Amino acid sequence: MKKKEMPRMAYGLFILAGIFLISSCTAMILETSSQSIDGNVVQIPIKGVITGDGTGGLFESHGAVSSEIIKKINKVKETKKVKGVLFEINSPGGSAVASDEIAQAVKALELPTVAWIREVGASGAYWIASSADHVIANRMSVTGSIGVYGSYLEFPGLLGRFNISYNRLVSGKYKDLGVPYRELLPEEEELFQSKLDLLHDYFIGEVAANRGMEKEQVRELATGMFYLGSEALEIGLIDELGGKEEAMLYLEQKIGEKPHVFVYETQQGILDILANLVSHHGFQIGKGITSLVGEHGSVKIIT
Amino acid sequence: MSRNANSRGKHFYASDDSWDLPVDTQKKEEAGLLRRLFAAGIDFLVIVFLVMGPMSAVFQQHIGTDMSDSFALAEEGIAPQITFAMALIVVLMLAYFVLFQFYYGQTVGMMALRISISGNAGFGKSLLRSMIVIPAFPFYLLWIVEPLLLLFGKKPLLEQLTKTGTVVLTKIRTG
Repeated sequence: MKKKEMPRMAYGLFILAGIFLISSCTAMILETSSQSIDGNVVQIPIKGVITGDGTGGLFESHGAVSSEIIKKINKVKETKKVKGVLFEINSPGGSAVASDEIAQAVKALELPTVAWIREVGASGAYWIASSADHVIANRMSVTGSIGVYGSYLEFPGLLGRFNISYNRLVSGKYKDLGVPYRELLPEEEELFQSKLDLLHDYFIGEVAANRGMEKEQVRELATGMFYLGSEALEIGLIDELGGKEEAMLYLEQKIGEKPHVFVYETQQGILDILANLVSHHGFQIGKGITSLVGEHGSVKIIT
Repeated sequence: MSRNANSRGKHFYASDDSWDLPVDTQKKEEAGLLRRLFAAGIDFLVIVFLVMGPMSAVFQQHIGTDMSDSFALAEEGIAPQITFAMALIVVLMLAYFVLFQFYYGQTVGMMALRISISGNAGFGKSLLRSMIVIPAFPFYLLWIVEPLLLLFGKKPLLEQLTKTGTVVLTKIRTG
C-alpha cells in the first residue's frame, strides 16, 4: 500500500471511529436512572441505613435515601398499569425524619402494598414496614427495635488530660447541648431525654395506628428490643412468615391478576456518577474548610 | 498492472503508469438496482454495528415488551430521551453517508460492490443524495420511488436533482 493511500484510509477510519464514539458516549449518557416501569407490580428496595440525603461513594450504593424512594413511589402513583407494590426491606433503620417521610408516602399509596422484610427490618425500617398493608418476614428476620436513641461520645476528661479546655461561648443556654467537649448536665440530660421520649411516642403512635393495635400494647413492646420474625408474628408486629413467594401470592389475591414484577432499582448513569463526583469533591472541600474553622459535635437522633 | 487515482480518489486501472485516461471514459455503466441494494445492505450493517448497537441499550432500558408502552412512555415523560436517541441515529447515519460520499465518492458498501458516484458530488449534493436515509415523511416515500424508477430504467430522483449518477467501476486490461 502506498503512503498516499494511508492518510486517505485514515480519514475513513476516523469517520467510522468518530460515529461509533458519538453513539457509544450518547448511549452511556442516556442510560440514566430514568426508567420505564414494565410490570403490574413494582418492587422497591429499601436497603441500608435510612437517610435523607444519601452521602456516599461514587459507585457504591448509598443506603436508603428517602427522597429517592419517595420519587419512586410517586412514579408508581403516576403509572396506571401498576396494581401493587412490594417493598423489599433490608435495613437497620436510620434517620427518624427520613423513616417518617417514607412511611407517610407508603400510606398515601392507594394500592395494595406488601413489606417483605429480609435479614433486618428494624427500628425506622420497621416503621416503614408497618405502613404497608401486609408485612411478611422470615422466621429469623430481625425486626422490631421500636425505640429512639441519641447516644454520643463525650470526652472532656480526655481533653483535660492533654490540657485542652473548652471555651463555652453561647447565646441561648441550650445552644451547645450535646457537644462532646463538655459533660452533659443533669438538667440537659432530662431535656434531651424528654425529646427522645417525644419521638418515641410518635414512633409508637404510628406503629399502633398502622398495625391496628392499642398504643399501650405497642408501648409495652417498644422497649427497643428486637424480635425475630417468629416472635414478631406472635406479638402482632408482622402478618405472615415467608418470603417473596408469599408476598406475590398475597398481591395476586389483592390485584386479581398474575403479578409481573418490575424491580425498581436506582441505576447510576454516567451523568449521575459525574454529579456524585462533583458533589463528593465539593463535600470533601467543604468538610476540609469546616474542620479548619472548627465545628461543634452534633448529636444525631436515630430510630 | 498499476492503479491510478484522480484528485477525487476514484480509481481506474491501466496497464502502465503513463496512462492517464479521463475518468468519464472509464465509467459509463450505470449501477443497476441489485448492486445498489447490496451496497445499501452492507452500509446498513455498518450502521447497525456503529450506531444501532450502542444505542440499542437505551431503547431496551426505556421501551418495554408491550408496544402500548410507547404511549405510557409519553405519559411518564421518557419520550424525550427516546426522541433524542432516534434523532441522533438519523444524524449519525446521514453523517456516515454524506462524509463518505463527499470525500471518497463511495460509501463502504459501494466500495465493496465497486460502484461510485459520477459527476461532482460536493457536500451539498452528497447531503441531498443521502436524504433517502431519513425515516420521516416525505423522505421515506423515496424508498419506494427510487427503486421503482431504477426498475423501469430511469435515473433515480435524487440523482436527477443533484445531476450525479452511480456507476460501476470498470477494470481496463491492456496489453
